[in-house]
Amino acid sequence: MNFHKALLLFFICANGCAVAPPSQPAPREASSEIRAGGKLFAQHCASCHGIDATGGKRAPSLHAPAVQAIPDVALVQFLTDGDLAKGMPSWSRLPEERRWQLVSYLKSLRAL
Amino acid sequence: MLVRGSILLVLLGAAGLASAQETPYFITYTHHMEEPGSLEIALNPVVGIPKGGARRFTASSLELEYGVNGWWTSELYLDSQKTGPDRALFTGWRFENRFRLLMKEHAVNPVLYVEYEDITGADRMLKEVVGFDTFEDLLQPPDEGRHEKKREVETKLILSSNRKGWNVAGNLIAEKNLNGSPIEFGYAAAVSRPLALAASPDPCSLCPENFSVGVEMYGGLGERRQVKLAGTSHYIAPAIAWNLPNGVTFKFSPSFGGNSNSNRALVRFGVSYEIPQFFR
Repeated sequence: MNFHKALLLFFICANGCAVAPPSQPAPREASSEIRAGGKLFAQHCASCHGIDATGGKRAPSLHAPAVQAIPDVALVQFLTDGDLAKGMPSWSRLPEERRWQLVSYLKSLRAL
Repeated sequence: MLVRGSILLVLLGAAGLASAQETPYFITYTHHMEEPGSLEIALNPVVGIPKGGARRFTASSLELEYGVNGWWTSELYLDSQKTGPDRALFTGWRFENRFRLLMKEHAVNPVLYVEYEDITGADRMLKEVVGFDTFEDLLQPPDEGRHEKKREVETKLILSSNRKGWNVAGNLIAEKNLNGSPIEFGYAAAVSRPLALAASPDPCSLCPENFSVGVEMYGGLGERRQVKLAGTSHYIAPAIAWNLPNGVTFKFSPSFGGNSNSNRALVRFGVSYEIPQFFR
């Protein structure tokens, strides 16, 4: 196989072989997941979304009903992909377990 | 210089929270881009243990990395080095841009890398090994090498994948010296994983989730019309990163020469700090 064919095969694969949708991890104690998610939120998200997740100049409030209505699996997928064109980075660098912890925290904001 | 720079970065790190989740790599690039608007300042010294009579050296690179937007990251490097008892030298600068080609996460994620560098023959950062680079390149005394201008364009195809906490990345490198030398090729490949995948509920610095370990391989692949392994040099490098919650990251990686053309060892250190939303 020459280089051009290998490159073509790669791009076909890269476009066609999307990452499998996230699957819910084994259940852990909810409160510790929320606390871990809150810690991750402060480290990675608060600079744009605000320390209390009420939003800022560049990012929306995560208390908003529209955000809270998104299914957990879809939120994890959104954290994985980001929205690069609109400035939301991909958080695929965080292991999937931590993305689920972030979603646990985000969904706990509904009660506030 | 290194100690003062490290102290400054740690003090900056104490100033506030920032996001940082670095892989332990020094050479291999992944598809992870800098967050939009964030500026990362890094100091990456390397201690070279050459062979063939060349003297030990310490080189250092100050790196400023900025997230232009979600799919475009720019970086400026300022290089310097000190060999044996000789005086320290500024050895040039490099400016790179990385463009993520696919907007969503895929099984394999391609990134295009384009760099222009204006360095001298005294540069010792060895950020990439290409063509027929060998330990003999370091036999030239720095005072002679600094008169040799190297204006080069370097491109990389970065392929990177995340799966079950692991990152696997490979880079294909093509470098062209604008003085008319043939295009040189090289590669870098790496794999890494955090020591713990889930975060602990309580704040911590020394917990396993803050450490990533991995291994890198890099080397030359010859040049145009001579793509081959014979005469090239190769390195293997275990690596570790410690990501502190305040945005400071420490990295360490000893590279060991893999064949008779390689230097004996290149010991790399890194300290970085990320300032979120720097220009916004």
